[in-house]
Amino acid sequence: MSKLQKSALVNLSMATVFAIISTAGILFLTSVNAKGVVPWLIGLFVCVLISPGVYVLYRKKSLEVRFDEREKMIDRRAFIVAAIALAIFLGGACTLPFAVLGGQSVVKVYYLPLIFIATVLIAQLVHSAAVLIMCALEGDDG
Amino acid sequence: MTKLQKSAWFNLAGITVLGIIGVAAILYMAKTNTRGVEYVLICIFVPVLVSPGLYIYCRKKSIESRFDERERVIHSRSLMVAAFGLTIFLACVCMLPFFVLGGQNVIKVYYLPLIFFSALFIAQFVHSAAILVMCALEDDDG
Repeated sequence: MSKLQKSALVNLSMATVFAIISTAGILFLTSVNAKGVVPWLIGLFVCVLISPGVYVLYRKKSLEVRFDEREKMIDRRAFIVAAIALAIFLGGACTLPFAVLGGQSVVKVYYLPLIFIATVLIAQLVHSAAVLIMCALEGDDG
Repeated sequence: MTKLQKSAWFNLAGITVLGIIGVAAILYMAKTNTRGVEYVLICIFVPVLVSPGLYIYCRKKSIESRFDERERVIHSRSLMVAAFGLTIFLACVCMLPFFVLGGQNVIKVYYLPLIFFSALFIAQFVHSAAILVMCALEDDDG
């Protein structure tokens, strides 16, 4: 298994775990009708503190150095496929309620974070699946 | 001016015009409380018919062959920057109303397509701006 395939599997599992945790968190916050920008600021602060450490720990080399030319090409193509899937999903999730319900109707606010989490998950899912499929296809070709 | 800079200016102008037209149409449809999935189907059907023709007409060569090595690096870096910009924008626009209003509150449905159009605009704006800034910085370095 190449480094790109390993990273695709790790990203896929991490995105799934984070999506499940965040959806559960959003649903809990919705049930108690939590308000206030403070939890948002705490979340932002934690991300700002943690992400540089995680970055330094796991990414000793840049993408350019870690992958060979073939893997870089697959990663680039998978990124484009993921971007298209993200645009289609976001377009569907945002315009269908508008067309079905009408612009003057209302939706619950918890629909918004669910859109965000689903969009991030779909993009990561499609990216990882595209990487794994393209690697498998190239492996079959020899 | 390189081909990459020209395409960045072209994309920036194109997305600005389309963004203004799209937002104006959404606001008009929201005002008249337009409903019906047929509008979504028309919006899907027209690009599916038009885009292959446009693609063949405007893109005789792929991105890889149009740009030189330096431009390709700038292009892929700016794509990453655009992806970060899009994620941060979506997070803010989806999570802030949740924490400010509370999950059980409601928002008007026309907010959703506005999110979609703004996300597309922000992604393209950041992409084009990143290309222009990186090209300018490289030119300054000689």
